[in-house]
Amino acid sequence: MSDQKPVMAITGTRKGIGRFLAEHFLNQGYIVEGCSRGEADLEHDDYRHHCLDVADEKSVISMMHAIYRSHKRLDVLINNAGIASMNHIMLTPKSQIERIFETNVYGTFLFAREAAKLMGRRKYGRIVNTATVATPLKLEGEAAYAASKAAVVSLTEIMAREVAGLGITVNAVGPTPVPTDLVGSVPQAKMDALIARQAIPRYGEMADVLNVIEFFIRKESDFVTGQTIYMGGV
Amino acid sequence: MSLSREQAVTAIYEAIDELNPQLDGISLERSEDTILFGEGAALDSLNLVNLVMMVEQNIMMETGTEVLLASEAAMSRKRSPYRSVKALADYAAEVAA
Repeated sequence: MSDQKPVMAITGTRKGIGRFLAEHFLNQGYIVEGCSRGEADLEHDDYRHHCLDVADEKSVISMMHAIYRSHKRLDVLINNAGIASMNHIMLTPKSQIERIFETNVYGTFLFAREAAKLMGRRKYGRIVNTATVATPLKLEGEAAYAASKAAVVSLTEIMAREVAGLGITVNAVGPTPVPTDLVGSVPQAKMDALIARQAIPRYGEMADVLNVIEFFIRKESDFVTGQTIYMGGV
Repeated sequence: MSLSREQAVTAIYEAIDELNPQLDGISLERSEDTILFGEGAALDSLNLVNLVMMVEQNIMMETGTEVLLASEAAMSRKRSPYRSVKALADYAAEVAA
């Protein structure tokens, strides 16, 4: 990397882990390009917010073009935006699984694809996707969500091979439940049962997610790609 | 926003200039006859993809025109638009029209 500040794109920066990551990496000297459906109140000289739906191809392409126009580079993409929904499969309307796949799978795919186009020019890039322990734990009530994240793991593994020659690594972090809005609607008894299945039975913290991301995006992690790290010993 | 054929050729030449130092032991010529894909091509598939993406970005930067050079329509053509510099310039000007 040159002396110029590194540039990172993070999806879903209005709140939760995305917001936390944006603030952290701004403090670390990154230029952060964030996005969410609504406006964000994060103000920093090196932060720019894009209002968009991550599943809207045109909007994603426009955001990436704006990044290229402004900085001529993109070092890191964190595909953080995601939605979850808990429902028995027999009660899950098609519209719900569509919405989940649009954000979690199509959004991740579009951002990763467009980011790789920018990263390929400089033969350097780090892409981190977000998986979930709901997939390996086969959580009842999470079929649509876990399936969407299983797709993210597959995208991660195959894309890693396809872009390795461009100096780009693609990995995924699989958090345990972290107290954010995403798990807010899940009943406490369910959460307790889930956490009991982890090797280390506690809630994840945002700092735990950050730790894995920081490992993946280190310059020295150029031999680490196509991996999904699940937290909590799942 | 529009794209002339000359602008398309310029965008391709600029991408070639940027890509050449990254290529092992080969160098693409700045010529419309340069073969990019298929028999006689110097580029492997990953470098071809990278070149096409660079051309898309160069066109957008220079003319403000967003062209999609990697599309299902492009892939399914009998005569590949990636065959040569000339074919790619023709295709870029065509899809931008």
